[in-house]
Amino acid sequence: MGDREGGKGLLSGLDSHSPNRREFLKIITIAAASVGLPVSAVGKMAEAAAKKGKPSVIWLHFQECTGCTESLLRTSHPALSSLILDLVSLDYHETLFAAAGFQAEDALNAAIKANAGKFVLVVEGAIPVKDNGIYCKVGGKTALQILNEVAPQAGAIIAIGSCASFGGIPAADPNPTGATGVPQILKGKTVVTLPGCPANPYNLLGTVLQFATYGTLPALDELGRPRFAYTRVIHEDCPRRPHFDAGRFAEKFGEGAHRDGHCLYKLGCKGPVTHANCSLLPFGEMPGAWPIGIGHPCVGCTEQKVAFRIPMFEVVPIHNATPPSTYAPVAESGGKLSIPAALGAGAALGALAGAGLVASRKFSGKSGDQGVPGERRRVSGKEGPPADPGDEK
Amino acid sequence: MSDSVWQRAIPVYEDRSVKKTFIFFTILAIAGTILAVLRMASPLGRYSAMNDFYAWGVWKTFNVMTLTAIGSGGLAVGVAAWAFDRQKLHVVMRTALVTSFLFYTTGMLALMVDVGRPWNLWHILLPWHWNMHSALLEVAVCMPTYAFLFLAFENVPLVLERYSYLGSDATRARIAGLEPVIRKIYPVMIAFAYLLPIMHQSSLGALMLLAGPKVHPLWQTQALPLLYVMAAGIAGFAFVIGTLLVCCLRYSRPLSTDVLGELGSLMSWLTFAWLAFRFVDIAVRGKFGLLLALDKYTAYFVLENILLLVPAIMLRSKQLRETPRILFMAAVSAGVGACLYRLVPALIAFIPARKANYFPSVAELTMTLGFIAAAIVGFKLAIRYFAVLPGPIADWQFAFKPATPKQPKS
Repeated sequence: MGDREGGKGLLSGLDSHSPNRREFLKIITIAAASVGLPVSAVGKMAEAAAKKGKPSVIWLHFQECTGCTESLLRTSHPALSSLILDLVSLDYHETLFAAAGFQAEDALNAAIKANAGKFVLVVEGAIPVKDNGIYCKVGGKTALQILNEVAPQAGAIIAIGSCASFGGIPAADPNPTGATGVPQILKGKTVVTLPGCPANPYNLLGTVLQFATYGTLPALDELGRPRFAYTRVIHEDCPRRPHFDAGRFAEKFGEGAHRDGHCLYKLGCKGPVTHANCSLLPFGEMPGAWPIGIGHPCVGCTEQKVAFRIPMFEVVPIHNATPPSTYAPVAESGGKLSIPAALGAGAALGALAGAGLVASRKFSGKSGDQGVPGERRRVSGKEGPPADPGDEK
Repeated sequence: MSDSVWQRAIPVYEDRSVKKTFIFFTILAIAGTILAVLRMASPLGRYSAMNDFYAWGVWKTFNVMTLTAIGSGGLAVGVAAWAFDRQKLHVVMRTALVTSFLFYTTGMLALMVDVGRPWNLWHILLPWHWNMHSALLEVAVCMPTYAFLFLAFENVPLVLERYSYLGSDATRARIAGLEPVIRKIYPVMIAFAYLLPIMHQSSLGALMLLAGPKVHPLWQTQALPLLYVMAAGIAGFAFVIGTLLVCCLRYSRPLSTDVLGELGSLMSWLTFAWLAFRFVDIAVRGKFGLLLALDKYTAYFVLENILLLVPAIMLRSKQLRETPRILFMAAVSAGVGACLYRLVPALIAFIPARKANYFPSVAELTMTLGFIAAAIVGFKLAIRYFAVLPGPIADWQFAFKPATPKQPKS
């Protein structure tokens, strides 16, 4: 996890933290490339770092499992040490802090004071609101109080993980603590949500670096999710998609088709309704290190209406029934209209319609008329039976 | 009601002079047959306009999918008469059964022509060659079994009746000996004769269901098998009504508005049930918005439903359904509507590729019309030699001899 080239550990990096220019440029180039910022961003980032200093980041933990932080700890391009020491100034983070108690509280207050209106607030975890939020307290204050104090002074607010984005697991039924996401509490404020359980750390990195470099936030969708990461559904870029198209489905865990890596849709994969870039940007740079990659159906953790609400193995409907790609037609078009055939068919239909019309005119228009059709004046049953069998009818 | 105008089936006592229409249909049938033989001896492409996208031509989609729906009169009238105890319909049963038999037979001829390698067709007789996962197998096994075993059995009394009147004493004795056997197995055979068509008529819908996204979503539904079998019932009723009316016109027989009205009424109820299933299904699937596309599929959809809905509403009035002219037009409309419904998902709303299309070739159409002409010729012979069409018992001559040439009516 530390600096690979020097073979030094995290602690040694902390001790002698002074990257030279070359090292610094290398780190920001890697960071820019990892999160998809253009090359031109490297120069701007260096410039911004020199001029304005590194962006201050304050990280608040509420009702959560710290999984988002844990996944952030496992990034290596750039490594965590470079990230928190060179790229950003992580001024308050309960998990990564050496400080404790009043010392930590002081650090928080100092960082807020120093960077008021500029710092990036990252919230991890849901906020309980039931009974005035007494179910989650840090330093004697409820999560609700802390958030309402810190958020108004932040330059940008990022809710990382499903819990902070919309409540996540703590908000699952029956939601005993009234767990709520950040956007639901900070109504009217722009909150970048990065749902995911855990959220992909590169999506956070990209958002933070864009804010640090350009002072802007990425384009967001209606749920506050950055469009660069949450526009396409898992199903569209899934590595198992060819199996879906070919109709090869795993139906049972551990059986042949599942071992062969076939599509997990019938096992309840939520890929077709889940917007996220999991398949494109692997966690911790480890290809396949995501649910579908290891053979588990997607649970839809980035979707408020899916994750922890729809049972994990329930099959979701696919609205746009995607036709299989296995047609593989050699030609793109086929068939031609034969004029004589069309004329013939038309003539036959016309003759039939004409005959029907003529016939219909011969039928009586009187209700209950049992007479022989075509002979209006004759009344049935008037004539007696023919005199002799075989004679005239 | 008890003294309906139609009391029993009576043969057409016509002189044996050959009519022009009969010659026309015979020539058409022969032309179709010759072409069919030529087609069987050559690859498909030479005679058919089928292509890589449309593997099912007009033979399968029209002669089988659509015309066996028309030929489901035997099923529709039979279920109404036997299962729902509409006693008065027994008098028209023979008309329904004979037309059913003819449409099924010619439909299967068309199916043989449609097969690319007809010389392998006999493999269907070897159950160990069967692909048990195929819906087409169900159709391929069930349809001939129905037509040549159960439907043929239902038509056997017609033939026996003729020969018990015309045959020698020995023949008569033999037929009399057969009677107890027939009576004994009749209920079982009848039960199968109504089970099997329900199976394969719904399987025809299942075939289109399996076509998946190739079928336009207005038609593609899990309910296709049910809708298909119900549409077959509607088309069957409509065709029986139409046939009876046209035959009475052609052979100057009085009409039983009572029986015809009963058929019309049943058809109307079945149509309402069908429409309800269809619209609820579309609503559940949430596809009504596709009607706003205002393309040709919208047009076909609207046309189908109007052709079925209008007669269904009209025939609820007893006065209207007992008016021969109205009933005829209603039957034609409902028949065309039901046939369209059977044809459209298989051919018109069947979109295998964006730029692909299919229109039958002259040879295909000739064969299709030839098979229909063969059915008409068969029907003309059947009503002359056997007691098929209903009529007043007063006309029953207890013999199957042709009449002397007609004298001008006074």
